[in-house]
Amino acid sequence: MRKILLGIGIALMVTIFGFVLIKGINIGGINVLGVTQIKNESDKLKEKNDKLTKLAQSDLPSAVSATELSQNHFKKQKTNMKVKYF
Amino acid sequence: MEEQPYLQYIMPTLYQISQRVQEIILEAPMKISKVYLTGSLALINNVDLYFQEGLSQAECEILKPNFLEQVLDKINIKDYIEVNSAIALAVQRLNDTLKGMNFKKLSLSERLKQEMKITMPESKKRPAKEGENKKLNLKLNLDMDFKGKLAPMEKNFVRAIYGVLILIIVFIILSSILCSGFKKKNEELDLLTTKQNAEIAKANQDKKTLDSTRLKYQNLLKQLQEINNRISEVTQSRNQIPNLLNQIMYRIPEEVQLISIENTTDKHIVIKAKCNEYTQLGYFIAKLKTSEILTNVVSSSGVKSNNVVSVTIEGDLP
Repeated sequence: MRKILLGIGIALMVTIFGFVLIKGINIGGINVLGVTQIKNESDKLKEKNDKLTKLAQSDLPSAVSATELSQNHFKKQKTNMKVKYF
Repeated sequence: MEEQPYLQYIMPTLYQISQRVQEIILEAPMKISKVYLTGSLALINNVDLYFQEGLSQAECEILKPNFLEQVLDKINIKDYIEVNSAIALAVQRLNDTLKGMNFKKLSLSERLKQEMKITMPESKKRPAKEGENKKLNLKLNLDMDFKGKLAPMEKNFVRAIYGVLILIIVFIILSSILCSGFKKKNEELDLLTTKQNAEIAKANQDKKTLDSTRLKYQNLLKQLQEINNRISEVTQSRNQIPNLLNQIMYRIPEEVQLISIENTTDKHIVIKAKCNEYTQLGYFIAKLKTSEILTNVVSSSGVKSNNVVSVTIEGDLP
């Protein structure tokens, strides 16, 4: 009987471990992520990181350079105006 | 003492027994709450009260077979106390067949354990014949008793349970650390993204402001240009009329009389002249053209009345 109970205990533990490993659990505020959830979270994080990298390496420099170009045009215009009229 | 002449010999022995039992109770690793008295000495009147006085921690009781409870009143104590040992031996032997037979009154937990005890009938009594299936000799021990030493296999089972438990705990800890890490990194990324977006929005706003200011300046420049043009035109046209009149004065033939000179629009000039001869008027028109006093010169056909020919000459200032 003791062996049977121990066997049941092992089976139960393995089942719980499998469940926790695959699905994850939430015990009173402590969120235990399963393997799938960890992968999803990792993918999300990677996506966000890529987005941020694009913003930092492409979008922001292009916006800044466009502003600088506009500023240079304006400076040039002002200089021409000064030369011509003052 | 006279009524009980042997008491003085018995008491020291009882006292020794009581002291030894007391010592055993105190030294025992588990709590002993009940002491059962049995044997011939248990027949002594109030012997249980005597032991109770000495053993304050435990309850003293004379051992009685519990299966005789219903008939105890009818049977003299001597009849069963003296044969308690025999009953015990008999019960020990019959234990397998007479279930529930016990001198001790079972507690609820013990009774539960007893109820849950499943033992398959033995087939030892019949010797197995050669070739007979050995399964008949198998005994399934479903004992719920968790006391006692663990068999090696059971030890392995327990180790496996501990192993899986440790794995679960380690996984939970690692997953929690990962979860909090993900949360932290997500927050950091969100913050950085918000900052970057704010910077981009700021840059775009600056560009927009610069562009609108540049457009404003461009319009102002255009307006200034127009004003300049107007001023230069005005300056130019201010001298053109006197120059025209001066040139006409030197080139007009003596016979030709000017009736009127009109500046109808911007640079357009309409001259009305008269003369007695066509040739003189023709000469005047040709002079206007060749000397480039006026451009695009056109003249109306002359109208003659009272020997005076009148023409209208139109042209633009150069």
